[in-house]
Amino acid sequence: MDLDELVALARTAVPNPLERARARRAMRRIADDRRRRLDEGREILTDVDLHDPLLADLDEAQRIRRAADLRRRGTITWATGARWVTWTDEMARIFDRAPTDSRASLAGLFRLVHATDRGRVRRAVHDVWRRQSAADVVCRIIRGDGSTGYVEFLVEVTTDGRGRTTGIIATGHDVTAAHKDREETGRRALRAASVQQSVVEVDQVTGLLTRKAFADEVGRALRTGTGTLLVISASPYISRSSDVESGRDHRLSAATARLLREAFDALPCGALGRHEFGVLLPYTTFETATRRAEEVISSLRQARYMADCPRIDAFGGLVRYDYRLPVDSMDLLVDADGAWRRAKHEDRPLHVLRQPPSADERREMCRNGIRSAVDQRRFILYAQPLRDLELNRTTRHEILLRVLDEAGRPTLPTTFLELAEHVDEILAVDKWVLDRALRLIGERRQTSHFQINVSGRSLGDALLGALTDAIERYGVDPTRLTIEITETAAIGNLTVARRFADGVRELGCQVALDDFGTGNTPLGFLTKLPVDLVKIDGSFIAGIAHSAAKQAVVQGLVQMCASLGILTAAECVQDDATIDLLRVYGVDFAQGFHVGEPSPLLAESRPAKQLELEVYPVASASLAI
Amino acid sequence: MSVALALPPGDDGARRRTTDRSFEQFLSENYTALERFLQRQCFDPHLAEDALHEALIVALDKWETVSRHEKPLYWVRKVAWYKLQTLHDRQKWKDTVPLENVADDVVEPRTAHEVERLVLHTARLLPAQHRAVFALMLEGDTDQQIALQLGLGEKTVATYKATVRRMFREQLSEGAPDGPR
Repeated sequence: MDLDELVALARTAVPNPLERARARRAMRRIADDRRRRLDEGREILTDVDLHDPLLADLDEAQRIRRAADLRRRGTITWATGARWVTWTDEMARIFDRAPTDSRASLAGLFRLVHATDRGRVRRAVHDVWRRQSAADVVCRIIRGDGSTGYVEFLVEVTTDGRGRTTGIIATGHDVTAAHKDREETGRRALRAASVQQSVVEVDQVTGLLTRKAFADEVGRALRTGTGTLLVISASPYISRSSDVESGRDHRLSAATARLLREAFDALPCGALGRHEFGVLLPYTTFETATRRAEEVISSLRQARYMADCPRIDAFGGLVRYDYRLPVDSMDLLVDADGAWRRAKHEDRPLHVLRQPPSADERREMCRNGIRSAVDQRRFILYAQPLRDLELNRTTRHEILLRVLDEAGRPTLPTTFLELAEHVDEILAVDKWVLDRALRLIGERRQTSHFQINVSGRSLGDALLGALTDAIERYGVDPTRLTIEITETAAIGNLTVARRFADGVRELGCQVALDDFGTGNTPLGFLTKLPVDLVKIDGSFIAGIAHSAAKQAVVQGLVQMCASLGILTAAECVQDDATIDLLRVYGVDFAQGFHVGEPSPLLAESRPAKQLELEVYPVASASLAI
Repeated sequence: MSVALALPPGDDGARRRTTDRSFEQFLSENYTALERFLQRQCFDPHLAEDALHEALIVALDKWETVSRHEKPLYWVRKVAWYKLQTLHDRQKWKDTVPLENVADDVVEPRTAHEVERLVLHTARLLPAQHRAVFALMLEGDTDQQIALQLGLGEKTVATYKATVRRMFREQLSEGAPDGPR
């Protein structure tokens, strides 16, 4: 089917009786409305040209000008051979020129078009002239007051009755507002697509809230009311060293999470650590909470072969919270954690902490726990490779801390470090790590560049002194050492941080900012601290190949760092597609399980006896970074 | 306006009645066509109706002059179209519709309803002035008549018509499941 056939088919038929009846009704409505308007003394004839449109008594340019006037459009006319263009009053208004100034040279006219659009407009007009056609052109113009406006033009050639070209006419109107509206609509659509739907982080294994999200939830409850917090530990009665690799750990956590969700329905539940779960029971008394907790713990204890696990060892700790008490969510979690350990110690299913410790007691307990962990060397150091994306080979390693759990297995230190920062004991940990790492590095041939993490809280002369000593003592090459400042705790004092960073660089070492973009480091630190390397947080890297938003953030960040002379590294690299993308963006280093898994820097001798860490949560969900 | 004022006063009532009858006759012949002409280029039927109503009130008011035109229909159509553009301008062209491929059943339309669906599908693909040119093509107007009604140059009308043809072809080849027809 072609268009002519359609035109023939669509041709209007003679009206049928029904249509005639509609026309009669319309006639009555029109006559009534006209009469009413006349009675009200309202003007009927507005913006209408009574001239017979078929009366071809005007030349084309005049006719188009007249039509444009009626629609409040301005026109610019050029007659063949003329040196000048002329414009109408309306067009003068659009350009913010005096109406008397009604003509300009062609070159002068193009000068009024914004420089960026000038070439395009000139080409469009030439095209129209050459092809004897018409074109719609939207461009920016420079108005008389120096401001910019968007104007939409229809550029046409005009002809005489015999088809000879007589000139060019451009009909235009100001579309600045419409253009801005469209831009805003587009921007809103883009923003809606680029913003995360929810900021609540969900643990991937269990579907429960992550430790951080759960702590936020506890904090919120704590500000608004009273209730109880339950922390449950549900570990296998007999742990096997293969639990993590075989996936049994994950399966068991998922099964426990399902059971908790069924028992507590819509209440906030979180996966706090390895086999450790939290449930928030707002506006619940100790009596009700105790009953519910005992039910759940007993059903966990009675479960047989849940996720291939013959029996589960379940303990619970219950604490009360009240908005009037001077505690924060971290304190509450520590208390509840201590409570279930107490239950385990006393071999009872549940311990209800009726009398919470005072702030000083709690702090002292935490500190002691951390100090004893440091003293007893319950840590092990791992090294994870970083690949130089230009050379495509491993040139650096990041030293990672792992905390040994009750069974002597290495676990992620997230919770431990969080607690250590919370009670200001992190410096001891950082000093231990520095000393231990440098000793291990010094013992071997230093083939790689090593990056060591220190907390933003520890920055100061004491840590710098420890670093200086260790470098000397173990004979480490300082130029192949980078100190990574982690972002989990805000850098307290910028002056102190600056002095520390300067000191580190004087030693010949480099300074890096870890987890950049999500933590507590403002952008301003890039210019205020002498940073050599920025490690882009893994949350921007994971899944970057499918996220335009993440690509935009990383690309911008890398560009900015490059202009400042700062190297960049990407964490959590999971596949080749990501590596390719990062290389295009100019990222210097890639790190992640896909690039290389962490391996022990040197096998640590295990502690002689089994140690129980009484006061702080040790474990985390898994080894995965 | 000047023509109406020049008429002698006195037999106002009789003259009005004659005019009304002539206008009514015009409406019964052209109302449906005018309505469809506007609806083919405006996807809000109420807006089209408002524009037509406004135009017809003016037409009735000035019918003595307008009825002397060579073809009053062209004048009414032109005024209605201008009214529609004014309403559109005021609404900032917000009645845009989502573009969709033409349904298979209207690629080869058999009934009047299917023809109209294909027309509307085609119209939706076009910018406003192209749409007006297309609507007038469907009314069977020549290039010159279209140019005179829409206030465009004749070369422009020819250019627009070529674009309409191209878009129509492309639309059908996209809508057809077994390749281009």
